[in-house]
Amino acid sequence: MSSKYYKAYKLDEALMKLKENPENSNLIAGGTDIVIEIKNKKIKPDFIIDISDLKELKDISIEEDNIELGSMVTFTQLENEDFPKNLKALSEAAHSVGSPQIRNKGTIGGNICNGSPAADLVPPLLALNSIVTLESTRGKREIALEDVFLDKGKTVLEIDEILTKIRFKNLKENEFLSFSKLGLRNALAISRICTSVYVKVQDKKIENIRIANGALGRYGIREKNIEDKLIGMPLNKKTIEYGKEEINKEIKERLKGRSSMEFKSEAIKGTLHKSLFNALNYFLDRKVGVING
Amino acid sequence: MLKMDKYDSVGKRIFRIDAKSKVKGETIYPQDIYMDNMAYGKTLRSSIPHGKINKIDIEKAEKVEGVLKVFTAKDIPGKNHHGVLLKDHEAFCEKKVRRIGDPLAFVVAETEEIAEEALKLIEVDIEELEGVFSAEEGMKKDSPRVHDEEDNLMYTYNLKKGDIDSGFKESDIIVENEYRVGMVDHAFLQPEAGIAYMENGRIVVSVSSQYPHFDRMEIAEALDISEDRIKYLNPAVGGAFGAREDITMQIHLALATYILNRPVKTIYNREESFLAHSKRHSVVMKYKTGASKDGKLKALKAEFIGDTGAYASWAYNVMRKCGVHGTGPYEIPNVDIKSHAVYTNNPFAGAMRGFGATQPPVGHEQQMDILAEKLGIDPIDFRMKNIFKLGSNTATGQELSESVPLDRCIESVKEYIEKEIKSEEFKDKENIGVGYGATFYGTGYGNGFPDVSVAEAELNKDGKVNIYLEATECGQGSDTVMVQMAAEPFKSGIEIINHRHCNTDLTKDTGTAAASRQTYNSGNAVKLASEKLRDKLLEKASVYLGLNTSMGLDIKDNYIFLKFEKDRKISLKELAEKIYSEDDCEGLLREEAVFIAQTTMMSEEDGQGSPYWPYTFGACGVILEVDPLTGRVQILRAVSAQDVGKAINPDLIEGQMDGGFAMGYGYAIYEDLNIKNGNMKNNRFTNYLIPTSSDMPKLKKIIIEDPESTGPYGAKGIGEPVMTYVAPAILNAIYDAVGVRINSLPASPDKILKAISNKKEDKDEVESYDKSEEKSRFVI
Repeated sequence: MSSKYYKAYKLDEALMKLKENPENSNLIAGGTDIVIEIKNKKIKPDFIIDISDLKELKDISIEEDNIELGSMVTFTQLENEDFPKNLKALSEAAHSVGSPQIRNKGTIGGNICNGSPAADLVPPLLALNSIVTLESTRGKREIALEDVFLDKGKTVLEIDEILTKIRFKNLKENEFLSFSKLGLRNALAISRICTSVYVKVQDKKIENIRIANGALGRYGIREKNIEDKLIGMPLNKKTIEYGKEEINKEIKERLKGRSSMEFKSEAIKGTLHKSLFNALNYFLDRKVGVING
Repeated sequence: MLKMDKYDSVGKRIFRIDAKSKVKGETIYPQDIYMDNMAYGKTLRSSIPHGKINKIDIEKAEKVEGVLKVFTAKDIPGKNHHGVLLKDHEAFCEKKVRRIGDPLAFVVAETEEIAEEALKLIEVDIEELEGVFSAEEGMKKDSPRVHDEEDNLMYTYNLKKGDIDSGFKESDIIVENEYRVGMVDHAFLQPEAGIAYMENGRIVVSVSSQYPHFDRMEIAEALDISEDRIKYLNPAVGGAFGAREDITMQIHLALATYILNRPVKTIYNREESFLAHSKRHSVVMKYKTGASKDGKLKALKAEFIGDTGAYASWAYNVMRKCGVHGTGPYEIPNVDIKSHAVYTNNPFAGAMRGFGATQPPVGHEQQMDILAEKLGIDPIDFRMKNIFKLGSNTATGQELSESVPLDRCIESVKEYIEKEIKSEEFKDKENIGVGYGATFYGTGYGNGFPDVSVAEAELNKDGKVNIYLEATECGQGSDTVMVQMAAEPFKSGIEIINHRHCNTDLTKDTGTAAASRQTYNSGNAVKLASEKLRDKLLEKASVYLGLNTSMGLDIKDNYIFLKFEKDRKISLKELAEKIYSEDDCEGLLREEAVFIAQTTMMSEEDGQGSPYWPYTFGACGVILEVDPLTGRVQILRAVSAQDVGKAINPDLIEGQMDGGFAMGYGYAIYEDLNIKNGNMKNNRFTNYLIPTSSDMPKLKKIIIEDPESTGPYGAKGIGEPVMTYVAPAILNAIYDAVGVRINSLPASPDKILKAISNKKEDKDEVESYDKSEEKSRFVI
């Protein structure tokens, strides 16, 4: 009934251990989900490999072009990171998770690899078009975050792979990321919906937009139909209203037959509204490329 | 705000005496108790809401190595029943299960893991029967019967005053609505756990309880032994709120240790805890309220249909209290209330903070606001025209002869809200709403039932005073206030008191820690016991001081002295030494005092009588914001004003007000057990949401004092009333913010959003009114 526990201090060690015991091994990072599953006897791993202290995966590196997050960066680290104003949404998303205790333990890598539909960091990382690095003793591969998820709780990770890095392009002055979460209370609330939007404005028009939602499907997803409709439009109140109506239709269709359809298709307008308005306000403040009204 | 007064210990903000050990983790909760040779028990529970038991086969389970025994109904030596009013619970179900969670067997094994494994090997053959899952369904004559011989409609309370028809004829505006409040959980911090063991041929049971003496009696009946063969030790109670009044594991543990002669422990996890204890009654409330143009209430007709689930527990008392409190704190000349309790196959409902008086304010306080709006009167002014005042009669014909400071409660709440709403923060903000709620609350068991507390006081050999008083500390602070009240007659600080309790061998029956009765009832008993002891000590001292009489003797700072010759004195320590040197026997100077509250039984026909005493009064105001795009509510300011008679410890009252607000807030906005066919889907804190500290607004707490002559030092109990006015204030504020009435709890984002979108669709429709009756229209 007992499990063997191995604490790794170097990525190589962890990968080797994982290779030695690929069947019925579980990686543990923050443990905020897996410990509960073990306690409730939902899983009974023979071998637990603790990767929470892999120093090489605990850094946030911000460079002019790229930002790279180690997968063992905690929510608290992300929350406290001094991101520029147009990337503050990443800290907000991290802050919206659970309680201080959970944020101190939980990691970005765990948030992604659990494959929860309501993972709060997934929508902003999707909106940022993140690339993740998967490593095993066989080597390294890079894959778009968007392609990581197969189903609720299922990812493309092979049993000997560890997600090690998350990378995305740093934002320019005319780019902005926003985040809006609808939880039922102010803390310890699982997202009913969370929405993140990346907007790039050029020549007074939306040059590029990426909208990602959590808790509206089997896993966090991009809303490409809506994005396509908004590209080329001016970022203003009228466009925001248009976007809200379009996403309402989209979600109604997606959640057809589910009891949550009526509420979520309505409430998504609220989270999208907030995300787009945050963007609009940012650009208005900067006086870059948007017109009020 | 509070007046300085003559008291030594009473009225002081004394740090709660149990705080330090709780903060340091030294307090012993039952889960913390480990003993040598301890075995573990696990309970098998029904997963079927209504069914006939064909067979429970324990053979395979008993064969597992390490299993000591599997207990079922046939192992109960005495009566296989328990219950606070009716004995309709079985310790183990024998022929029928009536709800999901009903206990079927108790496996005792060497380890918890073995017990869990063995549990899976018990083969249960239950034939599922058609169930009944709402009180309204249960009332129908042809609905399946939960208790075979009995009607599901197990109780109806009737209250009639004046002439209801002429009352509505005199009304210019009549508002009629239906409100629904669902079952909720107490959500206390500490799930049930306990241990039982044998000691010199006696059974010792240690399970957190609100009423150790009653539990002891129920165990004795089930085991068919005399009560004095059981010692009940009450370990620390991690919150109760009414959920520790009914038996859960006590009989199982006592039986197991009695048969096996080994210590037996069991611990429920959170999911099992949700299954094991009672819930708040869900109630359908049909309200019809009429008022005249000048803003006077003329008539109120209401019907309450309460779902008591599978068992009675406190159903009679809860639904009776619901009926008595149906009017709200208002004088209404014509009243007609019916309040029913109905069996169903839902989780059983029992006691929960407010006890039937928490549900009606959700109805009557929204009715008040709706009427006020239609009459074009400010909702506070409308209330002030109708509230209970000194000398008012309640709907049951009881005169409120003293301590009725409801006007002060409402005025102070209004003053705070009106000041706060002017703050910069709310300027130019849309969707901000203000709402109020006012309530009254009757203390004690009520209705003429003997409401008795017994306390004892004695002089210890070192000159301190031993108090024997059971009154359970559930976190409400009773240990601290009992000590304050016991200490007062000696005027030597609280350090003079040794509080002996949590042990049925030491203490006499003080009744249950419920009904907001301990401060009032047991407080009176302990005050009387202390006063008797003090008087006796003065007598004794007069002898040692060579005086002819105790007249003129006083006590202060551990000395007894003659008031006009202060050097003629003796310390309590010396006095104790002298007394005990004469006769060295414990309890030599033990004084017992009994306090019995005064209530009368109401008439069965029309509910007239004096069902409770004393009554407390209170009001709440909130400022909140509703996000019309998501339906989320944020409470931004809140104020509660509570009449307390006299505050024994203002800090503890404020603590109760904070907790009461949080509980009312959860009731209004979050809490939903999501019960489908008797199955609670939200049975964990992941999906059963209660407010967190980051949801709580800063609550302004106003203590209103108006001493009650029958209360100890003027005090009244306030543990329950502090939550009753919160939910209606929030619901009224939601209406004020976005113009929608939520008449079924909780007011969750989906309901609010739907109501807002329905309102938009309905905007153009013309409202048509009946000539004499105006029915207010609801959007949900």
